Amino acid sequence: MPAERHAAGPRPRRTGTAATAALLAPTYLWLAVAVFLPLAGMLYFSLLTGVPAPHHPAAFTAENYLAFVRKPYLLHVAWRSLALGLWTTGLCALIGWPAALALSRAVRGRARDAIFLLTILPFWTSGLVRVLSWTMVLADHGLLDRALGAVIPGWRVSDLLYTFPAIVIGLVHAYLPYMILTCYVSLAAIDPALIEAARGLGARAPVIFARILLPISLPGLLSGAVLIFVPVIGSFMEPRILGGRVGVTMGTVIEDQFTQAFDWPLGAALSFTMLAAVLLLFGVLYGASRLRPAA
Amino acid sequence: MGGSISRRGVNATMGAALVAAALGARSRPAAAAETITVLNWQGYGTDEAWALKLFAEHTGITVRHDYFNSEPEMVTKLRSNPGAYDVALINSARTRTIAADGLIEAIDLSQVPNAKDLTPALRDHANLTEGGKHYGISWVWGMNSLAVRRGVVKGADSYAVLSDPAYKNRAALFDDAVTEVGIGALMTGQSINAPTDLGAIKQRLTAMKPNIKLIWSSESEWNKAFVAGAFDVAIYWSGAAARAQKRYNLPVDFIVPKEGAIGWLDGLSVPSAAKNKAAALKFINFMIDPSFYLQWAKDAGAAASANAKAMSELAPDNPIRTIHKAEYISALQFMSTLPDERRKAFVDLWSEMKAFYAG
Amino acid sequence: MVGVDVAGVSKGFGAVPVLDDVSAAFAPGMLTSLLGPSGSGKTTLLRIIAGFETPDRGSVRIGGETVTDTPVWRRQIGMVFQSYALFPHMTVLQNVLFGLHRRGVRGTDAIARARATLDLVRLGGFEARRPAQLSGGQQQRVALARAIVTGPRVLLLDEPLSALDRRLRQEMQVELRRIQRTLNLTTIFVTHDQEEALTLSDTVAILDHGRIVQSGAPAEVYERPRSRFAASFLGDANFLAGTATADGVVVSGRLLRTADPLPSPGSAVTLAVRPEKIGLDTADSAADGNTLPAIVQQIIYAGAASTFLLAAEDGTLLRVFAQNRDVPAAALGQRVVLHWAPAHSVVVAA
Repeated sequence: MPAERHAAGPRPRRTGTAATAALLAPTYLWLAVAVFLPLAGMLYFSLLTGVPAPHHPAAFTAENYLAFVRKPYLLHVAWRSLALGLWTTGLCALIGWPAALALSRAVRGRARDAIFLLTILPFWTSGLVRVLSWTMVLADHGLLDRALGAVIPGWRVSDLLYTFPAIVIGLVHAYLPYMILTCYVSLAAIDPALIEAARGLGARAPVIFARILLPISLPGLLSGAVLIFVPVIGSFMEPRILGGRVGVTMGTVIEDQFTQAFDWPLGAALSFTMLAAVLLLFGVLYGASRLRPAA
Repeated sequence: MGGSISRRGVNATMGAALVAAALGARSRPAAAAETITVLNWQGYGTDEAWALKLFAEHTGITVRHDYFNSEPEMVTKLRSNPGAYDVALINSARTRTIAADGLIEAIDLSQVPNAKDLTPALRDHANLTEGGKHYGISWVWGMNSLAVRRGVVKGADSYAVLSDPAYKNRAALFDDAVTEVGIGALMTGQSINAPTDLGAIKQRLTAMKPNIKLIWSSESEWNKAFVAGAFDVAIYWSGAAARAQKRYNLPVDFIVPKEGAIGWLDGLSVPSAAKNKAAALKFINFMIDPSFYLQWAKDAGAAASANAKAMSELAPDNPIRTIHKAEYISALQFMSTLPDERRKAFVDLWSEMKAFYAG
Repeated sequence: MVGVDVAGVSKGFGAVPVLDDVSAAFAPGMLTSLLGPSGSGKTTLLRIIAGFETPDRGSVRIGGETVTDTPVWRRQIGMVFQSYALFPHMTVLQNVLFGLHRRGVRGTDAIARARATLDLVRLGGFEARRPAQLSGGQQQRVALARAIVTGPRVLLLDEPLSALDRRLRQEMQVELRRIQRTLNLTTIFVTHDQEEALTLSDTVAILDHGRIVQSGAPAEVYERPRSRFAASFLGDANFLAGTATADGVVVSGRLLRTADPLPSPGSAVTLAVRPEKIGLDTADSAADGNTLPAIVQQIIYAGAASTFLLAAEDGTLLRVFAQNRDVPAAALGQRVVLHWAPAHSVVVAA
């Protein structure tokens, strides 16, 4: 006769919760240490007058968050960063979506694998090396000019390096794979029968693109856009190396604060201001997507 | 290195001979097996392996090194490790502040025989001395000034070329607030360390906008862009220009225009709490010795020596010598300490200029 | 009401031939099934008629007009796919309106027509739903509505009911037939389910390895199969191999009669007899019909009827399908005599 040691009734759910917590703990620990702690540290910095040093104690101030008011030129810089983001995202969408479409529909087997490899090849190389090689291509009498000259003697694109378009070229090259991959996932999931059904109903290519393929793959386009827009507005490598005197963006200004001006509080405050702007943008987009009627 | 006689090997032997002459006969190692610690940038002369080997053989003093990656780091190390260092490399811009903190002590020049050959203007520069005493031994120096493309830019003698319409979109500036504000100060006849009229400087910098193609921040970036033909006039470092000429044969001319140029001067100092001061002085003496310098400067890798005798013994076609002419020294304003607010004002001005150039 | 004709259509994918010189006429206003196992080419034929594939050789005519080179979107066909292929990002109404808009019918006109068609398929009131919110049967009906709303000349269906459960499938079969009759729409229906083909069709065309082996009304194709394949694919059949004589076919020493014309005496002949045509008897009746003794090997009881597996004297296994009027009609191991009418012996090509 077993002793009545255990209380009668259903076993408590604690084991389930404990197991879940145990599985989640490493991830949250990592997030806390690698992301939240440094962010919190930076937030603290952003409210100081300067980097605390033995002879320079720092006081608390909100001055740094007024940077855009005190230094109006920062607004132009912010606008340029935004323009970079929009141009890059737009071009990546224009080039990436058709590429993903071709990859998902027109190419099969070995050829598709090969093209996939080529698409993600930029990820295999160091970002810095990539951007530096663009300087060789875009420079006056660089590789591009020489290639053009080989086709039509004397044909050159002058002064392409150290301009806004040069930065955009470098950024599009770096971020295009994101768009291609996200759009590919969306497009490949489309049942080919849908397209045949549309054709059977009398639709031709333009209608199929606009009414079927584009709307259904919109999630892919949007996630690609987010993956590209957010890093680009904060980028500083491409602007610095390809932009010459035009390459002044929020990214380079913030980087300057940390490496040249040693004004960490200002750099931190600018970073958080940008973060707030991006979160605001997401909030608006998300709200708008919910408001739309189920159509 | 397989036994064959390489150029390096021959040079080393000749150098060894010179060093032996300078340091005297090999002393018995058993007598004085001392160690000193030197605080410096990595790869900046005092840690040349061949030199330390010879120094140890001749004096029995072993030299160890500790490195810093920025001047604030150097100051922190000195402050927090009293007694750890015997020799420290300190930019003359900071020597007096550090001396005022009591971290380094005055050096008796009679203990440093080679000091008599140092260029007086450098040896006795106000940045290194306080109350007649020397707190740093002037070691190497250099200039930030104009570099122009030979054959394309002729007769440039003023920073005004940076705003000359003839060089539209053909100029490059150094991405450093202190340097660029300094250039503006020189153009307006002000002190680079204490300009009174930042507005005038801003005006001069603004006028350069149509000419500026790029703003460089490293020697390799400058060299690459120059080779690719991106610009014809620029602000550059004198030492880098010498290397560009000697190693890469670039058609670049280094010019000190009539407004003068920005100079920097590095000195070797002895921390107050150092344990082996006599040995430290011996090492410093060796560092300013021509025998050491000539070897170090062979491939134009070194900066210009503050030792006039050493400079005069350089090969006449060595770019270090041709660029760092002794007569320039009087035209230089050497960088010195900037109070925090002034430095911040410079940085703010330069940030604004960069944004202005971009827009 | 238009008819569809295919003439000499052949199609291969790479080195694999899928259709081999297929010719058929699909009567106007009739529902024709293309029946066959997988790989028989039935779907390919349908897709060629629709225009999604082009034949390597041969022609397709719709209403007398050759459409072999006409693109899909001009053929005025309605197609229902096996997976329904509803547009997931559109509502039911928008799905149905799609084809109308492509033909230039817009506005309230289009909506009225769409609504009417949805009513026809008994989905009135579902206009605002999305495909993901519908059940399988409802999705099927939307696919049908979408295909017929534009008033196509031909309706093509590619195994549309195979994803539904048995009861729903039977319901939909009835619905489909009703709608097809109401609209008098020439319909071609691909299926591998022979019961479905028999239930729905005006004409059944059996395909095997890229050829149409037999085509005709369901009863005709069922009762008078012309080949072994047709006999065994459509329903069950017993095959008796023997030699032809002047009076009949000798199978294992017994003379079996048939109503079909016989080949020259001495040639090998196969007779096919459907299981439900055979009766079980305990004694050798002196009837005019065919008899064959056999021993009962297995009885599969299925309530209303039973299937008997028997072994003939020469070992051939035979199937008999009998209603359970008197249970049991025979016992395991019992010797019985099978008998059937000569008219039910069908001479089939081997």
